[in-house]
Amino acid sequence: MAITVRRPNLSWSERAYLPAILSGMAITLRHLKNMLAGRTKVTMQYPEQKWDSYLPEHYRGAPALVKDERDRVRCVACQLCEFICPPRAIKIVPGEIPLGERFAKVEKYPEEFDIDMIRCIYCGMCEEVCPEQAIFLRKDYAITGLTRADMVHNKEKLIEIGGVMHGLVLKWNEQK
Amino acid sequence: MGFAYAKIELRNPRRADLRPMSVQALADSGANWSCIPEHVRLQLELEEAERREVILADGTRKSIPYVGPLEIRFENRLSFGGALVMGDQVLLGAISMEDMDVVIEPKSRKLSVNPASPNVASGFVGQTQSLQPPQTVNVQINGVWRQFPKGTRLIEACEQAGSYVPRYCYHKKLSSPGNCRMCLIEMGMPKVGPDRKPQLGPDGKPEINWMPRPQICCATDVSEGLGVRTHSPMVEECRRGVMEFLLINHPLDCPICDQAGECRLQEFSVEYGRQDSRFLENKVKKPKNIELGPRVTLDDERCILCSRCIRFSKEIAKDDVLGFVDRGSFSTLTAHPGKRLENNYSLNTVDICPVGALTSSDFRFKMRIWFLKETKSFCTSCATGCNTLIGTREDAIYRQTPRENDAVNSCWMCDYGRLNFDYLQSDRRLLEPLVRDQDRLQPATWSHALQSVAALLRPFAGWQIAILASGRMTNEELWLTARLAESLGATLIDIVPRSGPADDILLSADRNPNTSGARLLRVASESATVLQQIKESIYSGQVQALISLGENPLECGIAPEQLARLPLYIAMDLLSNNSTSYASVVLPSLGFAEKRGSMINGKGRLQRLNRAVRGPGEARDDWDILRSLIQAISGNASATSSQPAGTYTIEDVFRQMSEAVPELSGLTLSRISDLGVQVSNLDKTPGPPGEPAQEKVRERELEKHPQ
Amino acid sequence: MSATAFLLVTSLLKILGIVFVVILPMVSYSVYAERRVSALIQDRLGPNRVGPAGLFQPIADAMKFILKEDFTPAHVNKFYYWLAPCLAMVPAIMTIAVVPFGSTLFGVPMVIADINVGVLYVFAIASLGVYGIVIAGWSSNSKYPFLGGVRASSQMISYELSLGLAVIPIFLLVGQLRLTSIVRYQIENGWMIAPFLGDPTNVWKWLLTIPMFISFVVFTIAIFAETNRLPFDLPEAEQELAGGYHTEYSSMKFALFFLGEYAAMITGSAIIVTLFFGAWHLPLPWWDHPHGFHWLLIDGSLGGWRGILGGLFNIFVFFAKVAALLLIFIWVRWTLPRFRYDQLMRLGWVFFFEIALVNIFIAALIVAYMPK
Repeated sequence: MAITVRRPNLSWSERAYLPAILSGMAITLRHLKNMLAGRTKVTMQYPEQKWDSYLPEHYRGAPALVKDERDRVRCVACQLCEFICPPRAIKIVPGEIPLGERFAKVEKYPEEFDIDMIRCIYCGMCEEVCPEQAIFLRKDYAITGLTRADMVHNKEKLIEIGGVMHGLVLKWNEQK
Repeated sequence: MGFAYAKIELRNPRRADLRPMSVQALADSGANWSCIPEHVRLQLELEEAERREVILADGTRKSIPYVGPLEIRFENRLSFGGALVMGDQVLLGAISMEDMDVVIEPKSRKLSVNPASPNVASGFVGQTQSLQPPQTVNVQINGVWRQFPKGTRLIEACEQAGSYVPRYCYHKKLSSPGNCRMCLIEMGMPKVGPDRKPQLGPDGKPEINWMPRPQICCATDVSEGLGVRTHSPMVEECRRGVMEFLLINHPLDCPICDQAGECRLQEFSVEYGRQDSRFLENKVKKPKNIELGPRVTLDDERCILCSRCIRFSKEIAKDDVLGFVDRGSFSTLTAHPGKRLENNYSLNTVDICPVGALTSSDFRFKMRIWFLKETKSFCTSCATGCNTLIGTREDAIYRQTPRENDAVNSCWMCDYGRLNFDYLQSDRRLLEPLVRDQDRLQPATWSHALQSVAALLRPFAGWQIAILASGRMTNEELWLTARLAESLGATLIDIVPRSGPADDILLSADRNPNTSGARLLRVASESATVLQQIKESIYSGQVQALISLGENPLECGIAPEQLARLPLYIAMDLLSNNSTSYASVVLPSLGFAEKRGSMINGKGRLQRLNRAVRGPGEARDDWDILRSLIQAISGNASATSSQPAGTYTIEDVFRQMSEAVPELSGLTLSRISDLGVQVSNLDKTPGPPGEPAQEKVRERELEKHPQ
Repeated sequence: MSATAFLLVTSLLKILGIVFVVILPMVSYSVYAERRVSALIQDRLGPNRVGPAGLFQPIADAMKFILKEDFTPAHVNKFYYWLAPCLAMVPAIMTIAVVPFGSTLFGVPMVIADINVGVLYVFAIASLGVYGIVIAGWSSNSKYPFLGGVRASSQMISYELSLGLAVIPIFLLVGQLRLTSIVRYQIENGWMIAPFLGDPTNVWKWLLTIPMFISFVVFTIAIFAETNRLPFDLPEAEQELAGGYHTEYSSMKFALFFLGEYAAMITGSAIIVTLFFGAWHLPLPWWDHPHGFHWLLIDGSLGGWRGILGGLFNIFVFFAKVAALLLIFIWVRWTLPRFRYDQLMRLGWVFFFEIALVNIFIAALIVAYMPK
């Protein structure tokens, strides 16, 4: 059903436009004045000043693989992030942990784990979907490279960015 | 009693190629049998069935031949029968007239169809037991009364009624032990009054006396007046309880479990289970990562003891190696001491395992199933042609699983066929056409390669050329191969037989998937006589040029020095092998998962291959290569631009084939159902294990797929 | 040196000086100003990296324009496609010829061509500017430029009417079209924007202020429309037409359009300054005059260094006024949203045309009854 919106009844001065235009110009002039006087301060001079100390806890920077306190890369290559990733930036080649290794109980690990940072849109879906608390969006935001290949973060790079994360659920401990 | 003349049509139903005869016949209701003169018999080539003694009007007795079958048509009526060869005119006897439901009008002395039933022949028949409809019983499911044939499993009846009952141990092709308790439902019988008659409710239907405790529905058959509730609060509470028990010792390793995504435990946990676990104690530890057999890995912690694998091994694979040991929470699935699950059907246990306890060692950790694109196809490793789903991702094949087709393979397939796809991803794949240039095979463009083949073949006469076709080719390719032979004038053409030990489950002794098709299209000779001839002719030097299509001549008895001596050897294949190095031109072709096409299995069932992945490199579809070759050889302008007879797609090839081959008439490639079409009854052996006879299957299939 | 040769040499010097020393740098820096002012209005900083306070930004921009690939799409009409940017730039610069941008310097009048048709020449040349845009739109052979071209032609034709009608009161008053005469008249009788300044006791002058102010408003708004500035930038409307007539242009050809637009803006401001703000005239108050308070007229007529200083001061005053107007142009642009096309046409034909027409009669009546 169409909704008819009532047009407001304009006064004579409003219909003449000029007063409205002048008041608009007064507003922009006020902004200009405040900027010139240094009263408004919005822009950050990026390379000299950095966001780092202002980043909120929930900031979504580069995705990275984390290790737990026992120095285990938490990822088990379940490939849920690869599945959920909207721009399909993630590529995982799963592998099997041989019997006799320290974490053989986990059975599966990522042989290769590539995130194409050209594709990544920092949506955080990978972090949200991860059943192992293995992938987190860290606070790195300046991801640069000279070639397309440079922009693909491989497993080593992801672990380097990720670092160690304490206080996560230790799901694969021997007692469980 | 009376006479009349009528124009009738006679035909020999066995010989479709003979034209029917239209004759003026004397309709004589006084004679029992119909009679035809000798010349009619000769015209219709009717065979003599027996001799009969007849008494003529003058009392003499005579022995005359009784021929048949004879098809008699009058107006819209039809009768099959026999006739006596006697006299000089056609006589229509009372039996045929009764059969057609025609009468002689006494007034006009004309034969006419029964005016009481002008369009359809009508008559009395005696009722026999087999014609009675199957007995049905009334069952109330969730308040709705329905009819089911007697003997239907209650769990199937519920499913047909639209309320799926979750189950773990029940499998429709296996026996029902009723040990998972997941299919609990509320059940009741009709209330019986003091007069021993069912009490009727206000709607005139019997009232149900509900049992206070739940029942399993997988081991119960339907019975008259049975009432079922599949979604009552009690049932849902029971399912929640069963789910909780099943999950008590189940590890939470879905992230690494290959079953995740097609796991019944996951699905039913979401649908019927509770959200959280109340189990605080330690879970029971059981063996993990056990090699149960060469192809199956077992994780006992994940097992929910449904016993499907045990029953499959016992009932279908006839290899009773699996069983449970220990009791209670410690019950463990294991193989018989000293034995392994290594029969050729072991991977079916992985398919039917509702959880991730049994996983395929081949597919283990390779790919998550939610990435797989599943393409309906069939297995080409033997003449059985088990229906499959090919699981692929980004042009790589990860697994094959059987697809239910009760006319071919039921729900199963053998491990040999299932795992026989690695060669498609082999390093030995031919990726580009190769043309011999000064003793070395050099990569070439397709047009150059095809033109070279045509130019190289031109000096040879038809009797100098032999074609080695393959029983692994599709019908379309074989059809084009026959056309290729025609255009070359070659008569030496045969497929290479391939056999291996058969079992009486699914695996066929004929390891060529399309021998039947090759026979039908007259490419294959009976018992490989032409192949023998080809070998001898190569040896004698009569054959100067050999075209092998997907076969290795060195493996079918042709010596390397003979092959080297041949002036021309052209190979079309998907893998390079020890014979390709002798070839003048090598044409790379595609494998079964990379192309479309049809094949006829050992039982005469036409089935369709669908393309699951793209071919590697520049390899081309086989039919396309053959089509272009025919063009290049017949010299139709440039081979790649002009197409003879409008052969642009594989559908065109199939259409041409179906026009020429009566068995395939009326079919198109797309019209072949996913379950195949029976085009001839080549083999009367029984169907797959646990399946009823062929005819029943066809009836059932017609129900499922009305034409 | 003969008089003709002297005229030629001085004219050439004036042309080179005004185009390369004044107009082009002014164009580049008005772009810079546009970016900085718009940024400040929007609480941003704007270009502040190249040079001190970003002052070298125009140089960087120019380098960028020169180095960009000059791409000619295959589907365009080549000849007209190349012609259009020149046609956009040339009229804008040519108009400045008749504008008196100073009094005299070394006894040479600071106007390139002091012709008696003055303002008519301005209108004649300025209206050629539309050809550049229309030809660009048409020759690009693509729908958005075409729409832009069509919009530009109808818009500019519509607003030229009010533009022409708006200045008639001035000519009624001055009786001449020559711009230097208009300037002289303003020096003697007060600026056109405020005729009462010349003689605050005269009621007629106060009365005259009404039509003159209306003329000023209509003329200024029409100049906005003529120069395709927001709120009248429908021909290039980025959001709807992806740049309009210059969508298919790149590198220096695009730069020419860009510069042409700003050059047109500068000439437009120069005309406004000449017609309404007394051109180079800026009276200074002089309290110590022997006859009491007096307005001091500074021009280049004095001898020696005083004359030279005065002439330079007049040129500076002129361009200071132009710069102030340019800032208003920018200010308006970053305040107002764009008109809808029907609103634009309605404004031009239904309001400004009629207002300017009536305004002529008012001015004529006043001039007729005003005692000389």
